[in-house]
Amino acid sequence: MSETGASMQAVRCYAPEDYRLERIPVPEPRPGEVIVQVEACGICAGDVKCFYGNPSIWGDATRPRYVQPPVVPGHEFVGRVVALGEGAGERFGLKVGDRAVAEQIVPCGRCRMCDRGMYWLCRDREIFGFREKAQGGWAQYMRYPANARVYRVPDSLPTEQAALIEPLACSMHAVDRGQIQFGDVVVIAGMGPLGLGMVACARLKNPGLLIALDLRDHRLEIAKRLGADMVLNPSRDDVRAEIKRLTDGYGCDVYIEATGHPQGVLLGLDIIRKAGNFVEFSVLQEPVTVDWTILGDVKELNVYGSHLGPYCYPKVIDYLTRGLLKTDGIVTHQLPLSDFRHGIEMVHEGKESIKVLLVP
Amino acid sequence: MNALVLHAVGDLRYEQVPTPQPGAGEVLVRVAYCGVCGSDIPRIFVKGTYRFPLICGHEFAGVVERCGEGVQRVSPGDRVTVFPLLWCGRCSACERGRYAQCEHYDYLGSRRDGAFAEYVVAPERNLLKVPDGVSLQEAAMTEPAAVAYHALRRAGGVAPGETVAIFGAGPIGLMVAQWARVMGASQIALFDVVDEKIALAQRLGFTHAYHSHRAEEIIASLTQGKGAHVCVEAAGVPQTLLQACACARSGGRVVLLGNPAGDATVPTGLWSQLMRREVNLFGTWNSEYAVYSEDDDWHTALRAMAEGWLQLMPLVSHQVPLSEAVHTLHAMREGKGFFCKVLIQP
Repeated sequence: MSETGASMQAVRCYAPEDYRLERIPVPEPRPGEVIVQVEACGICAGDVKCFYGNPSIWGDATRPRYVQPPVVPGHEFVGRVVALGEGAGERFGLKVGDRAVAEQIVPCGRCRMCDRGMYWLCRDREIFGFREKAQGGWAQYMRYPANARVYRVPDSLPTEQAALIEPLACSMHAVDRGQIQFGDVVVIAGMGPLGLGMVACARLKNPGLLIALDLRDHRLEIAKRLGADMVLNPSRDDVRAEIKRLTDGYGCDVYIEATGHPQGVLLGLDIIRKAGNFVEFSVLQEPVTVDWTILGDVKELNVYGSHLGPYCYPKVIDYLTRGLLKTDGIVTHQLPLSDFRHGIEMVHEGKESIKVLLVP
Repeated sequence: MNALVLHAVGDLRYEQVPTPQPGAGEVLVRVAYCGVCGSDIPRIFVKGTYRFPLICGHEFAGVVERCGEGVQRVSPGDRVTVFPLLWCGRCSACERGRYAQCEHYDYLGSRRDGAFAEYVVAPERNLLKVPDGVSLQEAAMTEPAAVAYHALRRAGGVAPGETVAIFGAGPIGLMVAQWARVMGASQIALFDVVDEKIALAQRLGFTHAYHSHRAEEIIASLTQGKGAHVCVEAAGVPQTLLQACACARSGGRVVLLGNPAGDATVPTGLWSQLMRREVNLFGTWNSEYAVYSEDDDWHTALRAMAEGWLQLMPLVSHQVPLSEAVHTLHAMREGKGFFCKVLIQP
């Protein structure tokens, strides 16, 4: 239980590559807030980008800095309620001892986007693990602010599934954006934790053919286990010729880009059929150069951006609880907080690990 | 203050009541004009309100008299109109900004005191400022104008060149016709059974305004037998519902806007035609309102008045002082004379 004046172990980000394991005070609940003891918190590619000083997070000549150090990183968390501020229990249907997750975004509730329920595109959003008002889950305890979107998580879910609720919500939203129809040939590129989650979600839509792409065979093996009908490795297989053969030369109906690399975009524009649905999910390492004509005059494509996991958390929790959504093999490592640096390096290299969890 | 108080079904009295006081986050509005909605007549004389005594009236505009604690967006003297639906903010409809679908709403003029009175209290977030150049009479018609706009938006709007048929030429039907014109409809037909309404529609520039008994024949001749792209049922009468369905072309849209006055029996042939022609039916209810956005029905209606896209003043057939409104409401119920939009002036 949190006690007044108690302290806890936490990782704090001060500057790129300056992250420190420290003792800081356990947060106290204010009205409407939930305090949880963190059970586990994943390391996201975004956390790695932040660690290495990515300008989309730290700012540059054209972009403001988003991260507000010192801050506890981590937005893929699950925890157990230890204290409830006034009104929080009734509002979220929680009591002390319950397991609970909060969406990674804390929306303002007072902008045009929030007004229309498009809270995930909130103008004045706070994202856990980057902002002073939304300290993250790489700590023993954390605060879900009053504006957070909090859901109870059944005790039956194992830790390695409960900690995947956040990435799976993002995967589910991306798959929803693709509007898969029965019979569609669906290609998902990039079998990181998010891409693998997309394979698991797309499986539930029962497309005609579900194809996973990645450069690493061990990730493709997991994709097969999660429901891919076919896997292709662009470093070995002629993906363009293969997709052409499988679709009578038309191309795939839906392409979901989750590689983080410009090649993933270029390949997709090449192998998608005319009037196909192209979903862009990646945070790309560098700008993509492409003949933009392909969107209009050549293929009349539908390009859908995908950001966060709006309205998907309750669905993910439900599908996981009912055993419909597979996740076997996505979590590869669970490390103590003190090994956070090792965890970041593992995710950065991505050779053996897929999802690495920190377990405070 | 003076108010029209409904004590029981049909028991409407002009009397003195205490002036309401604005609580935290609420505003006291001095009512300038309050329109009589078609629904007010059955509410007062047939169905009753959700509780008694109650002050009806939900289509109004006025001037801010006093602000409760914490009010920031308006100040005394501001000209305002008010979205009369008070939403809970805690249900799934509210989360998406679909306040009119709120599961636990309250309502000025049917569930709590409305604006057939000198003053009314409303939450700050329900107030919209009236733009310069829009009179308070016009602003009092924002609610029906928003309802009319919402009905066409439900059907995906009107594309330039489309034919729109409107069954019922009351204030809302005439507003739907004006919105259809703004959206670029090439032909707009209005049908009613009251000669004065048909004449008013023609004065507003809608030359295709006819008696309802000729509706199917007229639509056929205007569309080379194909039918209208959009049919709006704005009377709530069984016959007009059937006409609206019969006049829709293959793939057309039918909007159900009028509050139903009775059971309708759909003939087998028409039922089958609705299927064969893949006609789309849209229910519409109330209107969309937003606090932090400006592309909702209410802000759009006020902008349309300011830009001159809507001519609402010709719809006003009567302006009556509050002290004489009981008499007028009885006359409306009994159908004594021709009424279009009636504005009560406290």
